[in-house]
Order: sequence, then structure tokens, then C-alpha cells
Amino acid sequence: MNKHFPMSRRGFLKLGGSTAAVASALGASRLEAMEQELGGKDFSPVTGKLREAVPYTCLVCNIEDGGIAYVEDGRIVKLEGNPDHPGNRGKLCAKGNSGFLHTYDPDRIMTPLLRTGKRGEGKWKRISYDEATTMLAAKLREVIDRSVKANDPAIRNEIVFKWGRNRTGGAIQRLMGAMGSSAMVGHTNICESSKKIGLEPSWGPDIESADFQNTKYALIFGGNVTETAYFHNPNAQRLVDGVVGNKAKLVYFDPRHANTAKIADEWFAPYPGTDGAVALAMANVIMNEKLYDDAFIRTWTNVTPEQLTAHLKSYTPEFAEAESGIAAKDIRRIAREFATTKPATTFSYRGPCKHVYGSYQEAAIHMLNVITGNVEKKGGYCLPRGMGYGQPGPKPAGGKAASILGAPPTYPLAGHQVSTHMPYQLMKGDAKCSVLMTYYDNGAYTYPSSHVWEALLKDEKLIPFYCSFSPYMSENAELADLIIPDTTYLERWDPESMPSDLRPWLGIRQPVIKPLGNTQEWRMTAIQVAAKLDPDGSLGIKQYLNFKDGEEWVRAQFDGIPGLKEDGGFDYLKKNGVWPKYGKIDPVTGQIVDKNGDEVPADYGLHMKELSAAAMEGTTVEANGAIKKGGKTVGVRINGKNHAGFGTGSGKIEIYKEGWKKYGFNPMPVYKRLPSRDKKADELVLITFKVNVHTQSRTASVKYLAELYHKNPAWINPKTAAAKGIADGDLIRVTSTVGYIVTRAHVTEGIHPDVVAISTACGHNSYGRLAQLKMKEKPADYMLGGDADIDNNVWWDDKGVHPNPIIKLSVDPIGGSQGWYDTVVTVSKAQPTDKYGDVKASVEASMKDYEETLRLAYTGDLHKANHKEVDIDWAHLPELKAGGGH
Amino acid sequence: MFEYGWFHIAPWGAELSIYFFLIGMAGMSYALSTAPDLFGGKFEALRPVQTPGLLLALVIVGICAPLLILDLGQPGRFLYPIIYFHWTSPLSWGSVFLVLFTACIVGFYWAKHHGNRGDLLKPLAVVGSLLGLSMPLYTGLDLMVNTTREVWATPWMPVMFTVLSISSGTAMIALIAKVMGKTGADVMVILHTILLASVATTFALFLGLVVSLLYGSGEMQQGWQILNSQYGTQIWLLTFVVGILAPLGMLAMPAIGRQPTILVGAGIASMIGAFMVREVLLVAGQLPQLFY
Amino acid sequence: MAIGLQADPSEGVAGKKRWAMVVDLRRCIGCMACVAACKAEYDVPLGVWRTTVKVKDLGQFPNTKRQFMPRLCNHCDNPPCVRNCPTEATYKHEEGYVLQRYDRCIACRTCIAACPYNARHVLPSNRTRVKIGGVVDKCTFCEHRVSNGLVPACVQTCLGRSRIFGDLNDPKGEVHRLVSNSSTVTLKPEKGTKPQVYYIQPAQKITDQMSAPPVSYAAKADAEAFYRHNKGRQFFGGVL
Ligand SMILES: Nc1nc2c(c(=O)[nH]1)N[C@H]1C(S)=C(S)[C@@H](COP(=O)(O)OP(=O)(O)OC[C@H]3O[C@@H](n4cnc5c(=O)[nH]c(N)nc54)[C@H](O)[C@@H]3O)O[C@H]1N2
Ligand SMILES: Nc1nc2c(c(=O)[nH]1)N[C@H]1C(S)=C(S)[C@@H](COP(=O)(O)OP(=O)(O)OC[C@H]3O[C@@H](n4cnc5c(=O)[nH]c(N)nc54)[C@H](O)[C@@H]3O)O[C@H]1N2
Ligand code: SF4
Ligand code: SF4
Ligand code: SF4
Ligand code: SF4
Ligand code: SF4
Ligand SMILES: [Mo]
Repeated sequence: MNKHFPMSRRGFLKLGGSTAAVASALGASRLEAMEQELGGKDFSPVTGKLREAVPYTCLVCNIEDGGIAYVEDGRIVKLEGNPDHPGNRGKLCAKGNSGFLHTYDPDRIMTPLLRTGKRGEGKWKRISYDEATTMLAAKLREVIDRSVKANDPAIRNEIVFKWGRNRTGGAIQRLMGAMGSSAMVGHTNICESSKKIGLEPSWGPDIESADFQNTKYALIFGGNVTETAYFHNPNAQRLVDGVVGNKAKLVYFDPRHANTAKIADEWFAPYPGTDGAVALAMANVIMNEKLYDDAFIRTWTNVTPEQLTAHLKSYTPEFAEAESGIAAKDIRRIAREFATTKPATTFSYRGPCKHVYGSYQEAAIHMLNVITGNVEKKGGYCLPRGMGYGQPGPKPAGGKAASILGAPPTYPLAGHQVSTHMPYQLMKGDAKCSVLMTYYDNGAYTYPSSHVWEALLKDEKLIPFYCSFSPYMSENAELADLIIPDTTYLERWDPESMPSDLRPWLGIRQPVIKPLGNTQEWRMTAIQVAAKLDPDGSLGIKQYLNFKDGEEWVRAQFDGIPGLKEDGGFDYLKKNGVWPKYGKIDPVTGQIVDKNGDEVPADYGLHMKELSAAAMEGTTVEANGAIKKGGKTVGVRINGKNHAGFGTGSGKIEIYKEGWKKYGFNPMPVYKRLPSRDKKADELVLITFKVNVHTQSRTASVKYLAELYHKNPAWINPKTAAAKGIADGDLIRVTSTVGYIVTRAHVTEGIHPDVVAISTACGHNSYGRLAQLKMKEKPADYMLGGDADIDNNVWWDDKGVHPNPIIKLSVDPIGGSQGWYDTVVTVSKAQPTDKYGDVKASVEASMKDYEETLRLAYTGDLHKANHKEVDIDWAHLPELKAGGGH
Repeated sequence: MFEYGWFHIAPWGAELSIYFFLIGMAGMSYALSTAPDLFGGKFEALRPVQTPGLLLALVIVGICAPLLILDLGQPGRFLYPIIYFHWTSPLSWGSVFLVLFTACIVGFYWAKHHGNRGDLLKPLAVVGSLLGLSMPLYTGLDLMVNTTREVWATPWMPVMFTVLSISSGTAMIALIAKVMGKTGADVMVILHTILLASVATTFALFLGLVVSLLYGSGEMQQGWQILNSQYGTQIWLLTFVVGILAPLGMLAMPAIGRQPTILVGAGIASMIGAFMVREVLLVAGQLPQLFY
Repeated sequence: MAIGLQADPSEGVAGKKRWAMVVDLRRCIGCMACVAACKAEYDVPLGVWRTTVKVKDLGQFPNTKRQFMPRLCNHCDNPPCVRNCPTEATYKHEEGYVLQRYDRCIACRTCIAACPYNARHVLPSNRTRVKIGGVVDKCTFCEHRVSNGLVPACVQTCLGRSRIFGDLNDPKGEVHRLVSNSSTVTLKPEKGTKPQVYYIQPAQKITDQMSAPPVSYAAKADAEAFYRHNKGRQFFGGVL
């Protein structure tokens, strides 16, 4: 993830030595306390036999924690955290522990399926992988032939690949690149893209690694660390260690009392979309009261304290109070505490950034760490540490023509695509699709105004051929023409790395068991499709997918990682699951310790690292200190020293973003009042959230998790409910301009009175029998079948109601991110004829939302009105350029 | 996450309260049936109902044993409480008693009618009656020994269950006598006296129980609340009014109470009460902790 | 031999182990990892639990407070479940575990009635993988893991490191240290069961509640669904 600081293990360990002595004082007493081992082996409670252990990497959610799977008689019976893994330190969350049930889901699709009835009718014919890949190859070949014939590379963009969760380590991009299509659409704009865009231009990487464990003060904005967020399991452990173990203070901002508020010293419920105002006001206090780190700002940023103070002038705590509802005196107090308690860090996730102009809010929060000099300090706000792995050569050049789906030119700053727009672009004829492939993607459930995806996928004119790689009958997969099921994550190969610890690691996902039935992993499907598409290699496609199987492909990806080979290379990873091994977990402290029981230290101050003479070779140093090599910034010269710096153009933290200004956006972090802030008094803001025991659309079919959480009534404050005559459990209608849903009220003291909150993960109209509570139905002939527990013991009778159909499309014009928490709704008692679960949503209304949100883009008519303060030549904004983004 | 996502069952249900009720009745029937041979004298008046009384006890045991066995999750292992006898478990003792009691019934009948072993009658009458009346005693103990369920863990339980068995057993014998037309004055006097005494004792015990539920530990008060809110009809109408007050009223004046129809009526009413109070106590003892 | 126990309590007995758990409620984040790990470890069917984590919200907006309360068998030193079992199917191990002999249990549910902590359940016969069913089951303190030198599965995976396990008799052990140095409480000490699961800093309302029928609709509706589903099933008293 952090390409800026690839770190070899050796270099890392060398740096680490210095702090070891400090920790050793505690070593002796700690060691004696180790009585029982934390894990690493497992026994059958029935027979007492030692179970076979196979390391793997989790993918129930996307934090990629390391695990060990235990196998008994060829069946995966238990999962456990990998004790060698520095990120999750031997532990799995509830989802991770339940992950093997994905593999044994009785409703799992066990064979490729060809649609026989109408789209969505649910009539399928079982076919072989051979037949299925032949069919898909033929469809792809048709497009490529046309492109070759017309000598028009743009035609290849009619091959559209839409993915949601993509942990293939570039395999999808490789396949698409080989075919020459740029129409690749990832899901990041419904995920957290405006966070990434708030951060990347500011300091390089797209996320922070908050050193919760060692901090003394944590300020968290809408990142539900103990339940969700990057990196749920690792960060939850560290936050508890920090708050309870290290006695750090935790202040949590969320309109909803999420579980993170449980361990917080203070919980504040801001009005949705106003975190930016709060953060800017805190910065205002810190600057005005001279609590900032003068040297750090002057040395390491592209602004001066004076400029900052001037910029923040209008963001007074009183102003923020009026916007957010959080008392000015609290804002002042917390700002002072944050600035004077060292070390301190912020953390934020989707809460602040998933709004229109969410990029500003993220940038504002980021700035708090910068002005207090907490960046890259132990216990502070650190750069993420990851390890890179690439694709093996030869590498395809990629599509020659830009795709409007892959990178809408109206969003030049949105470096992570604007996938929400795909259906509208196709419906309006802005782009064409001949073959659609989806991987780990369930737009008809997970997207805002999800009914639009359903409408798109049902339309055979717009989508003449649709192939899904889903192993489950999801809302999307139901509408496919061809399903070529992938295997589950415990039966396939992927390379992994995530900055879930301050010590970087590399992990592997490998088949714990042979894929059940005759299923095959997606990599194999891709290899076969390429081979059939280009049997003689004349199209130049096959050469890029010329692997024997998934294992060979991933092995090639791991070759050439510095230091790995010396430790045993790919086979080391197969055996141990993660590399390097930093030490052992101390069962008492939970920390990774060396042979002497001393904590293996992390490395701080990455930006300060001095570049070696070798690294400086062939570089030039610009006036602002940026050290350039081949057009790229590789470091920054400060006071005559060459430092690694930050991953920006100047090598410093860029609080001022020239790139934003170019398009008429404010280069500085600002606060923009959203329309939802001006809702009518009797309206509410609808927000949505995830819960600790589910992952997106995927886990409603996992019985342990469904048993823990299966319905998602709408959280509403008792005062608000009373004013509307709504009692706990009442049937209610939640109505937006898109339509309405009929659900139930969960009257709770844990929510802001102006807000109604409905979680995701429930209310499926697909995804197998358990997710839909249709246990009486027999599993279809293509399903795995056979779980007497599910057939007989499911006791709950409420599957929930999903809010996504009525969540309006509205996109941040900077980061291109969906504003999930900006939908204004009315909530009322249900009408007499309403039934629980009723949903009504209009495609026309969503079409209007699309037009409306385009007005905010830099080319739109509302853009200038919203950015009057920006001093540029508004008549000459950059031209629309296809293939924009970065 | 909501408050709860997991629930518990109340482990004992109707099978148990039916069993408690029936087995107590069997014990008293046996005692009354064997009284002529044990005490003679006035009790000779009960001689005509002896055989039907013994038969009744046997039939009840014949119902109870399968009832108990079928209530087990592993009916095939019904002998385990005896095979793996655990002396601190009332259930183990109960199982042994049930077998011995059944043997006494059969033995007494055999000694009387086939074996011609008059010498065995008295000992069998004593042992069998004690065993028979220890059946309700042990069912009460069964609850009482659950020291952690406060509604049950009072000496009221075994005492009350025994007294209730005396009344319902007596009532059943009265009914038999009435059906057989053997409602001689002596029989009526004996049955009336026992019934009146036992119902009156029940009345006192009931009041005592009410007081300890009302003013006892928090858990007892909770049990009391549950009784009143969910089982008001059972406790007040069926137990107190029908099962205690009504028979007391009917039996209070010996002249009226000894009329066979009235006596039998009072008996039936007391049986309804005797069943109900067990049923609700069984439930009320379990529910306070159901959500703990 | 102590009355009604197949083994004497080993707490404080030199040379013997006394396994115990400490749950530090300050550290519990309600993640439910323990619940899922335990279900997986034993193929625990739906509708029954060896361990749960209760959730309770207290206070009023904006002073809302949430509490989590992990619960499991207390492996009592004076276990009424053991005392009342007619077949010695449930017994106390000399190292403190209270365990089940499945092949002896007749599922009379006497032990369920005796346990004041709802720590026991009747195993349904329809399970995914393991064939044992129709008998009473409960948390075993993961005896099969502990006797092999490992901590229990729920402790192993506990994200907050809220669950701490060890030998109470080992003066150098973490559990011993916590129980002797911090103010720990046990549940319902007045019942005389001598629980061996110790809690650090529980919210009073959670340990004291004798009966806490669900209050929210969300929880009540689930309770009703649970009882509706179970009605008419064997071992279901039909109450409620
Ligand atoms: N358990 C679990 N963990 C996960 C995932 C999962 O599905 N399940 N998915 C992973 C993925 S893909 C992602 S993107 C992350 C997301 O992780 P998070 O961002 O932590 O989770 P969300 O629930 O999407 O949103 C976070 C919180 O934002 C709050 N919120 C809404 N509006 C506002 C606002 O205006 N201001 C503030 N301050 N808060 C607001 C919501 O109430 C919610 O509690 O989680 C990752 N981890
Ligand atoms: N209301 C609401 N909606 C949300 C969110 C929210 O907080 N609230 N969160 C949003 C966020 S942050 C995100 S990241 C998105 C995620 O939403 P999506 O990107 O759609 O991802 P998932 O729901 O995780 O998985 C999508 C599909 O992948 C398929 N799948 C499952 N397992 C496998 C497998 O092993 N292989 C393959 N090939 N396919 C598989 C299934 O068909 C599944 O439905 O949801 C967003 N939607
Ligand atoms: S947080 Fe949980 S589900 Fe996500 S990767 Fe880690 S263990 Fe797996
Ligand atoms: S908690 Fe219950 S089941 Fe566990 S030992 Fe104590 S009484 Fe027995
Ligand atoms: S159910 Fe089993 S373990 Fe429990 S008391 Fe009965 S026989 Fe013993
Ligand atoms: S100790 Fe073992 S059996 Fe008991 S709750 Fe924990 S995981 Fe489950
Ligand atoms: S795993 Fe630990 S932190 Fe999570 S709910 Fe269980 S006890 Fe609490
Ligand atoms: Mo996401």
C-alpha cells in the first residue's frame, strides 16, 4: 500500500534495535507469566486428535489478517489468527472466525450456470467450466475481432470489468490490460475514496497508521474502530491497549453511539457532514493559542503558521458549534488537550469523508496531526507501512483508449473511479458495454439507489452479455447470463499486504483444502479464458496469462521481493503464511516480543530517513527542495540533508493543494455546508453503517453471524420518535425523494435527534436461503447443500430491510465518493396497507439525482457558486480530458 | 447489536408438573388403601376401596414411569440414575423410590390376594406408605435442592407437595368410593377429616408461601411478579379460590361436608388447585433467571 | 471427598492446578469474536450457546453508555449442577473444570435447572458436523485445549484481551495476579456456587440483574421468535 516506503526486513530490523533496551526492564516478570500458549495448534474436542494446520490470509472483510486453518478429515473445522502475524497478532474477529462457513455454505454455487429462462427468472442449466470459459472467450473474442477489424482500440472498452472487493494483486487489471480494455470499474467510490483523495495529495499514501497502542490521546472521527474500519481487528486490539493499557484518552465523534463510543472517554454526536467544521475549529484554536508545532509546519509542510492562522480565522469554535451542534467550549477544550498531550493522533474513516465535499473534511482532520507535529511519532499519526508485490513480466501495456466508465473526465481529481455513475452513463448512452464481467461485486444490493443497478442488469440492450464470477447467488448474480463461480477465499491463491501494523508484512492466501466439488478459482478461469480467446497467441493476449495455475502466477508475483528469497521464498510463505517473522506473541501483553521477551519495536520518522548516496544518484534537486528522479519526487532536501520526505510533488506535506485549485476547488481544507444541514425541521438525515459481525453483502448467509445480527431496524432518538408518534418497534415508512422503505423503529438513546440510521448487511432478496429466511425451500441442484443445523435450528424470523434503494446518489466532486450520509428523509408511522419490507424506488428519480450531482462537478453549473472564495480564472478551467484521474 | 441475541429455555415443563401431581396422588391412595390392614379399627371402613385404591396407585405409576422416561432426552438410559446412583441427587433417590414403591404396591396386592402372606402386609403398608408419601416429598425436594432458585429453595416445597398429595389422594379415593357407591358414614368421616385437615393446612401453607414470595429475596419477589402478571388466573382463581377456598367452604361444616357429593366436589376442586399450584411454582421458579 | 463433588475444589491446594478466567470488562469491545470462535470450536448449533456477550445501553442521549458482559460457565467450586445430576454425567475435574460425560447424560435437565447462570443447554441432534446430540452441554473451559497447553478458544481470539485464562494456584500467573491485585467480582456470589470466572469492573446493573427481560422491541421480537421456534419441541417446557 505504501509504495513510498518499501522496506526490506533487514533494514527494518537494524533500525529497530535502539529501543529494545527500554522494554527489557519488564521482560523478566513477563516471561514467567507465560503458562498456556495462545495458539498455533488445535485439537479435536471429540477425538482429541491434533488437527492439521494450514496458514492462509483472511478475506471475510478486507483487512487481510493472517490465519491458520485447522483441517480434520479434509474439512476445515476451525480458523484461528496466525500467531506470527504482526497485524492481527494471532486473533480473528467474529467474521474471521466464522469464515469457513463461506466454504461450506449449503447454498454455494458448485458449478458454472447458464441462464435458461428470462434474466432474473432463476432458471439455470449446469454446465462445465470448460463450456463456460469457451462461451465467455467467444463473447470477448467477438468484441476484440470488431476492434481489430475497425482498427479502433476504443471498441475494446465495450469489454467492461466491474469489481467490488478485489484482492487479486493486479490479476484483473492484467487480464483487462492484456485484452486492451480500459473499462475497469472498481467499487472504491462507494467505499472510502474521498478519504484517499483527502490524504493522497496531502502526504502520499491513502491512509494513516494511527499508533493507538502507544498514544496518549486519540481523536476518532466516524471510524468505528472496535467494529469496522481499516483495520478493524488489528486496530481494535491496539486501541484497547492504548485506552485501557496505556491510559490514553479517547474522544469519539459519530452521530450514532457505535461500539467505539463504549471505550471512549467522551462521545460526541455531530450533525452528519460537519466533522470538517469541528476539525477546522480545533485547528483554529491550536493556531490562535500558539499550541502548534512551529518547526514541523515550517520544515515539513508547504504552508506557514501565519498562512494557516489566517486561513482558519473564520472557523471559530462558535461557528463549528452552530454547524455541528458540538459545544464551542468542548471543541476548545479538546483542541487544547489534543495539542498539549503528546503523543496524540487522529483517526477517521467513512463518517467524515462519505459526504459531498468529504475530501475537504478528511484533509481538515489530517491537518490536525500535522500542525501538532504528531506525524511519524511513536504514539502518533504514522505513514502506513506495507510491502509491495508486483505482477510478473511481461506486463501488458493496457488499453489504448480511455474509458469514460473507468475514469469519468468530469472528475479529474477522483483517482479511484466513480463507479456509481456506471449505470447512468450506460443508460444515457455515454458509454457502451458488450460484455460485462463482475467480480466480488453486488451493486444491486450494495450501491446507493441499488434499484438502478438492478434495472441496468436486467436491460439486455444495455448489457447484452453479463458474466458473474460469484460463488453465491447474489442480487447481481441472479441477473447474470453466465455464472462461472469462483472458489471461496480458503481455496485460492492471492498475494497480500496491508499496513495493519507499523511493521510491514507480506502474506499469502493459499488453498487450505482442494476446492470443493469441481469448483475452480478465478485465476484459473482467467487463464483458460485467455487461452481460448487467443489460442495461437496471435492476439498477443495469451502471453500475459501463460501460467499453469494460480499457484504459479502468485509464485511469480512473490519472486523478486528483496529478502524473501533468503528466508525460503514462496515456500516460506506457504509454510508460514506471513513474512517476515518478527517474534513471538507474549501471552500476557499480547505484544510481539523477541527471544528475550522484549517488544519488537516499530520504526518511526520514516520521512526523516536520509537517502543513501546510491538513492541520490541521477537525481536533481528543485528550488523547493524536492529531489526528483525521472520526473518523480523521491525525497526532499532540508537544511542540506536529503530526506525520504512524503509522497507528494514537493516531498513535503501539502496542506495547500495546487492540483485542486486548478479545477476551482479550494486548495486548503475548508468546510462546505451541505444541503442536508438545511433540511426542514421535521425531516431527518439518513445515515447507514456496518456492524462488527458482518461484511457488506456477503455474510448474511453465514449462520453464526446471521444468528448474532439478522435485522436492521432504523435507529431513532426517543424524543424524535415521540414527536412523530412512533414507539419502539413500530412499523415506519422512511421516504426520500427516490422512494420509500417500510421498516421498524429501533428507539434508542444512542443517536442524534436529527438522524435516522439503518445498517447494511440485512434485507437480502437473494443470497441463498438463510439470508432470505427461506429454509423451507430445498437447495437447488447446483448448490452444495447439506447443513442440518441451518435446515432445522434457525430460530429468528426477521431478515431486515435494506436501505440502499432510497439512498440518493450524490457524489463528492473532488474525491468522486458517494455521499452515503447526505440523504434527507421523512420518517412517519407506516400507512395501514404498508407491509414490513415494502420497497418502492424510482429509476427516474435516481436519474434526476445523477444530473443533479453532475452539477457539482468542476464542469457543473453549481461548482463556481460553491467555490466563490477560490481565486482563479473561472472562465478558463481545464478542458475535459478523457482518461483523467491519477 | 441489540440488547440480546441469545435466549434460554426453561428446562422443565408440563410433563414434570403432571408427574408431580400424579405421583403424590398415588402415594396417598396407597396409604389409604393399606390403612385397614395397618391400623384396622375405624379404618376397616376403607376396606371396600382397598383394591381399587391399589389399582389406582398402580395405574398412576404406570403412567408416571413412561412419562418420566419420555421426558428424558435419552429415554434409553432411563436406568442410569439407578445404575450410576448419585447419592446427592434427589432424582437418583426418586428413581429408586419409584421402583421400590411400585414393588410395594405389587407386593402388597400379591401378599393379600395370592401369596397369602398376612405377615408381610403391615411392613409393606408402612414401608410403601412412607415411600409413597416420600414421592411428593422428593418431588418437592427436587425443587428445593436447587438452592440457587430461590422460589424453589424453601422448605415450603416438600411440605406443601406432601400435603397436596394427601388431599388429592384422599379426594381420589372419595371419588372412587362415590362411584362404587360405598359411601358409608365411617368412610365419609375419615375422608372428610383428612381432606379438611389437608386443605386447611394447604391454606396456611399457601398464605405462608405468599408472604415469603412477597417479602422474600429479590428473586422471590420477581417470581411473585411473574406469577401475578403471567399466571394470575392459575394462581388466584384456580389455586386459591377453586383449589383452597371453595373446598374449605364446602368442607367447613362437617354435616354438609360429609355428604358424598359435596365431599367429592370439594375433592375435585382441591385436586385442581393441587395441580395448578405445582404447575405455577414449577414455572415461577424457573422464569426469574431466564434472561440472566 | 466433598459432598456431591467428584473432585474436591483445588483452589489453593499446593501442587494442583485451578483453572480460572478473568474477564476485564474495561477491555471488552463486544466484538463477539469469542462467541463465534466457541461456536466453531465445538460445532455449537444455532439456538444454543456456550458463551454469550450481553449488551446493555444505559443513560440518556448524549450521555449514553454501553456495557458488554461476556458470560460462560463459571466452573463453580461448589457446582449445584454437579450435585443434582442423577447419573454423575456432569462432574468436577480435579483441576477445576466442570465437565460432561455425554455417554452418560440422560438429558433430564436437572443440571440446567440447578445452574443459576444459564450456562447449560440441551444440544439439538441436528448439527453440521459433530454427531453428539440430545444431551446436555456447556462450556468446558476448553479442557481439550488447556490440557494440551493452550488457552481456551475464546481467550485465544479475544480482540480486547478482555478474557484472561490461567492457573489460579500459580502465584506467578496472570490470573492469580489479577484476582489478588484488582478488585474482581464473581456473579451471584450469594448463591454459594463459588464461581471461578472473575470480572474486573462490571457495571452493577449488569451483574445484579436477576432477571432482565428484554426491553427493546428488537430484543423482545427475537425472544418471541426464539420461543415460537422452540414451542412444541422436546425439552421445551412450553412456558412463555
Ligand atoms: N465489521 C466490518 N468491518 C469492516 C467492514 C465490514 O463490512 N464489516 N468493511 C470494511 C470496509 S470495506 C470499510 S470501507 C470500512 C468502513 O469502516 P467505517 O468507516 O468505520 O464504518 P461505517 O459503518 O461505514 O461508517 C462509520 C461510522 O460513520 C458514522 N457516521 C455517519 N455519518 C457521519 C458523519 O457525518 N460524521 C461522523 N463522524 N460519523 C458519521 C456511522 O454512524 C458509522 O458508525 O470497514 C472495513 N471493516
Ligand atoms: N447501506 C450501506 N451500503 C454500503 C455500505 C454501508 O456501510 N451501508 N458500505 C459500502 C462499502 S464501504 C463497500 S466497500 C461496499 C461493498 O460492496 P461490494 O463491493 O458489492 O462487495 P461485497 O458486498 O463485499 O461482495 C460482493 C459480492 O461478491 C461476491 N462474492 C462473495 N464471495 C466471493 C468470492 O469468494 N469470489 C468472488 N469472485 N466473488 C465473491 C458475492 O456475489 C457478493 O455479493 O458496500 C457499500 N455499501
Ligand atoms: S477484521 Fe476480521 S474479517 Fe476482517 S480480515 Fe481481520 S479477521 Fe478477517
Ligand atoms: S456455572 Fe452453572 S453449569 Fe457452570 S459449574 Fe456453575 S452451576 Fe454448573
Ligand atoms: S441432564 Fe445430564 S448432566 Fe444434566 S443432570 Fe441430567 S444426566 Fe446429569
Ligand atoms: S472456554 Fe472454551 S468452551 Fe468455554 S466459552 Fe470459551 S471457547 Fe467456549
Ligand atoms: S472477544 Fe473479547 S473483547 Fe470481543 S466480545 Fe468477546 S470478550 Fe469482549
Ligand atoms: Mo468499503
